Amino acid sequence: MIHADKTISSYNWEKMVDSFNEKETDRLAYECAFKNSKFFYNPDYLSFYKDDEFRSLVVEKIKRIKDIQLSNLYPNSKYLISSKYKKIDCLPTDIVVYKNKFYFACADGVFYKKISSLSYYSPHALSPSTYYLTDKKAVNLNVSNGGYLYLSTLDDGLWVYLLNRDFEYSDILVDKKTNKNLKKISKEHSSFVNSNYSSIFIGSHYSESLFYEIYYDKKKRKSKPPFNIKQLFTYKGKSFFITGQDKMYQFTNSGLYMVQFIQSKIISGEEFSSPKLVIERQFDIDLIVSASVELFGIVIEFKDKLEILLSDGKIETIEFYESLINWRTFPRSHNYTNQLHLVFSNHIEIISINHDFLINQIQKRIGIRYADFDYYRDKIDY
Amino acid sequence: MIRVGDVCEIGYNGETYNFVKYHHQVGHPKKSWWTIKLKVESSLFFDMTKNKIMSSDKKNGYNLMLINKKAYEIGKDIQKNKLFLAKFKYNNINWHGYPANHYIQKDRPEEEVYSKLEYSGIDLSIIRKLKKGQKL
Repeated sequence: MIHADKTISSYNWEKMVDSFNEKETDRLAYECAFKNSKFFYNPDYLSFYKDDEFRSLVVEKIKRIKDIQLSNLYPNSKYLISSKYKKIDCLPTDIVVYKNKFYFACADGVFYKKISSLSYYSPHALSPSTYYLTDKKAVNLNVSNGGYLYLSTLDDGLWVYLLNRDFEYSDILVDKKTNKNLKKISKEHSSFVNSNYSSIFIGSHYSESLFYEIYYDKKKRKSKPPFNIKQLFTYKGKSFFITGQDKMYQFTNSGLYMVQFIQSKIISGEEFSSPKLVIERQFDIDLIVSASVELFGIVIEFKDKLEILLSDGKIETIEFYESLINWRTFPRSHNYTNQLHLVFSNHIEIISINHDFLINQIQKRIGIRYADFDYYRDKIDY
Repeated sequence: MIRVGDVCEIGYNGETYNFVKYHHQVGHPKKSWWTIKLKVESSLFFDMTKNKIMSSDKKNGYNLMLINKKAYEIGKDIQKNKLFLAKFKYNNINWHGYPANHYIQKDRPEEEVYSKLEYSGIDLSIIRKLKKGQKL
């Protein structure tokens, strides 16, 4: 947790969650809601979901803990691991964690701290020293599993920094021979960047948004020239675009349109589906501040509220009674993909969203498809 | 009464401010222009000097106009986009200001400015959007 005074606190999250659990019969719900979001996606349990009684029981268990308040994140909490000496020089614009390093973007560059892999629960796990990565003034960071750190730098374009030089396919985006880890890959305006497998979406609040197909062919990393994502959609009016893995969305005044993206079909040229209208209603494009595509659905921040378009078709609206300082999701995490963290001036609210494992991931239109067990999911009759 | 083109001693510490003509010319082909009254422009400058919302070299100053804790449009750029950030520049003699585009690197505040914006009472939610280059 990064505080307004730029100190960093770490908490023993698992123990804290356990402390809320007073009944053994609630253990499973706490486990899945707060500690292990992927638990119910396990293919071994899929056949249970055909059993209505079992489904109802799982839903009932989760509902039983739905309004709890986590109130233990105080500075003197017994679950606090460390806050001393862990100060950074700015309130970061964005943060990412990759291979035991904590990267953060400030207005004057990107920096990192090391995280000791020996003991995550030690007060000394995070290095007191801050290391300099680049002077690029990034407003958004995105790291791919291959170690490509993408940096959106507004009118300075999109840059990539290769964090993992040992990565097998590191030869295309970043030039190993010149020993440069950093390379500009788009000169167009970039406000944010999303990964769609190894391809990337370059979003802009100011200019056109682009899609950049990066793929592997015969063990070589290749790319096609970036193109305006508008080309994939038929609605040509004012729009806001956002993507996440296999889905691309266009918010418009007449509704939400979706194009499905299949990374493995780039070579054959059949990677994009035709656009489909998935929600018919007006979205006021001028009021959209930011958005994100998650497993559980799509989070959209408007100027005065937050909406969660859930993958089961429902919509949750969160009105602000005080200003929302920040919000975060954790799409790359192993355990918190179902969480939305809302940061207010004197507290954070952690919302755990638990319905998506009951959704047919193949037919799902809103939200990222859970893909780890596609083979099994194909065979399940929902 | 202040008029466009005037140079006035209106800063908190007596700093002089030039109401330069080209940033008041609606539809200027190369410069952004103010859409607020001169009185409001001067109060944005006054508050900036009072709260020292400046870069460490004291060459650039910044401010936002807030109504009901929300950032309010203060000008337009050449593409007629709404602008919210007031930027002031010092040329070693006097200051001048213009509506700045926070989506463009050259107009954006330096790192040290953000904490000064916060101390001057600007909400962290607005500062976050400013820092991330999001809609204010």
